[in-house]
Amino acid sequence: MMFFLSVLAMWIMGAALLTFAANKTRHAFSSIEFAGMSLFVGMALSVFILFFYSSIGLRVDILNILAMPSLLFVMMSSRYLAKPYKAGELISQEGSPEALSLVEKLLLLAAAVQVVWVFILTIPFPVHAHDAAANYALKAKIFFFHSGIPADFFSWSESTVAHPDYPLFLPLIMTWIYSFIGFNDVLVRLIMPLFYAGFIAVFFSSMRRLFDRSYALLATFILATIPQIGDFATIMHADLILTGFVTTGVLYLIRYIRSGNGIELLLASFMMGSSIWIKNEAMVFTAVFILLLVVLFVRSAREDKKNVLRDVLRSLALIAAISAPWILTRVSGGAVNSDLDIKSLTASRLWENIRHIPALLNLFQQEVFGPKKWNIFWVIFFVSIVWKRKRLFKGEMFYLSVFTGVSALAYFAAYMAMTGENLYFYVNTTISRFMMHFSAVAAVMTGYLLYDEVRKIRPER
Amino acid sequence: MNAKFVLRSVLLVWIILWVIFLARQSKRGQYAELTYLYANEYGSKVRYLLGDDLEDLLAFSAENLPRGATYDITGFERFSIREVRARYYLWPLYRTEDDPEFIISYGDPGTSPPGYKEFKVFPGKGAVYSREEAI
Repeated sequence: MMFFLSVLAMWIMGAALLTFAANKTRHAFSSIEFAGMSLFVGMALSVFILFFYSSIGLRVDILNILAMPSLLFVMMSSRYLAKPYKAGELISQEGSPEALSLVEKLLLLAAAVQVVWVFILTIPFPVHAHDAAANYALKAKIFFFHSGIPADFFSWSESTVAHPDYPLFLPLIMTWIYSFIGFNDVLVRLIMPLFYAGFIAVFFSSMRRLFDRSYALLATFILATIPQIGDFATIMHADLILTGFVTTGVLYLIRYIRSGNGIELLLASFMMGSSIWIKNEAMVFTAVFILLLVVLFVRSAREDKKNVLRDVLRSLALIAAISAPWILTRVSGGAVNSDLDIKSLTASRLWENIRHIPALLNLFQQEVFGPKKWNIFWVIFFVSIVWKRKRLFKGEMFYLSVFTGVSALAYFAAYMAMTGENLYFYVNTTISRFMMHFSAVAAVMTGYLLYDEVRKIRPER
Repeated sequence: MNAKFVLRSVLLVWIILWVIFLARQSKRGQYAELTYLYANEYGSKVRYLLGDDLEDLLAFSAENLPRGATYDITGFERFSIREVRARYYLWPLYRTEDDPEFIISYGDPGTSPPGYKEFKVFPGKGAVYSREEAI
């Protein structure tokens, strides 16, 4: 019960912020989108709140935590409980939806089976995965028993806690939940399958805006049943959360490019800025996202330039405001990453890393053709890229292709330049999860590339 | 071979592989493990994950070492799964390699490290040593 209250508290904050933003811009969410995005935005807000509390020395406990959601709940209720009909302003009214076809029902059922299976695999375990025990869950345990982040935490040694420099999104989410349920490292893990379900909902709702319903359901089924994504929903690792935030950010960017609706770019920027708090790798995605904003402005039509500039500047300001506290904390705390260090870059080390490339390519092909983690997802992706290569840089696909390509190159370059020793070991232990970071955006790309072909073969309704 | 055939075949392969990997155990004994974990309380779950020997050693240390004390743990490869799980379960004891108050030695107890004395020995499982002036 208290677990669901903790999630509800997050959700209310997210819903309140989305309500505020929607009212300001007269934007209407779909109900699935609103439900999923409220969870995502609420999770990010809860992280910012706990970090803020710790920064000013305010004790992290249930009473202090409840203050913010309660305030936002009262504000939201004052508008919608008194005049419930106004809730219609928030949710898009598309009339009664067309009944689901048999194929759509089967796709929905399959996705539901997958989600239930993920819950079944998650429920009985205490924290046990390597990075969870070494990093995220240990930090959450420390923060909970300390009622906040210890003052000198960022200077602690690696032998006490792994990677004190890592962003604190997942540990703070766990701390938030512990503040409601007490220390219970079995129950707290339910947040991952919940996030997974939310991600599927948000992914579907965005794909639904870009394509028709049955195609969006097919794409969602494919994403939900990628084994690697399901597996990461059963453990306390931040990789799925990063994948969810970055993908949602990219989807909102594409939606903005199509609609010109400023709130969609703000939501994209919120997700990208928040991702900085999830994993260090988000720096790459956010930098490429900012690059795309500049490109978007440059490529915009003369008559749209003023509006696009306004939206882009707002987005940059939002990203800066969200990410600055964490970046400043890292810089001022002097926290360094023990695995990746630019100072270790020398010509000889770079040459040593370059010599490993054939072995790394071998690891890469094992991932691409390995059905145990990816089914045939990457095979479909690469085949569709080759098949539909002429479309890669047309229209909205341009932004997806540049985002994916430049981010992948940046990941590769960072490994080559910053990995101190034993590059093969690091790549071998991280390549699967790093490919997952790209997988959902790759699914969107594949969706774009194959849409016309799938539409051709679909029976008429 | 037209696009329609290829796309339908791809979807069929996807569904077959999905069902196989959904039902197939991702590691040997997965279903037995799930059944065991569903049927047992928290303490038994932790014991199952850590193993009896390590759990005995860690439970003793968590119970008997002063809260906030520093320790080092030996007998594992650094950053191995057992080492990180031990560190996780031992908190609020601080692991440090820099002159710890206690050394928890997993496996063959051997002899006391220089500057440390026996605190508790678990024959065949491990031992806890305290710094000469710690207690």
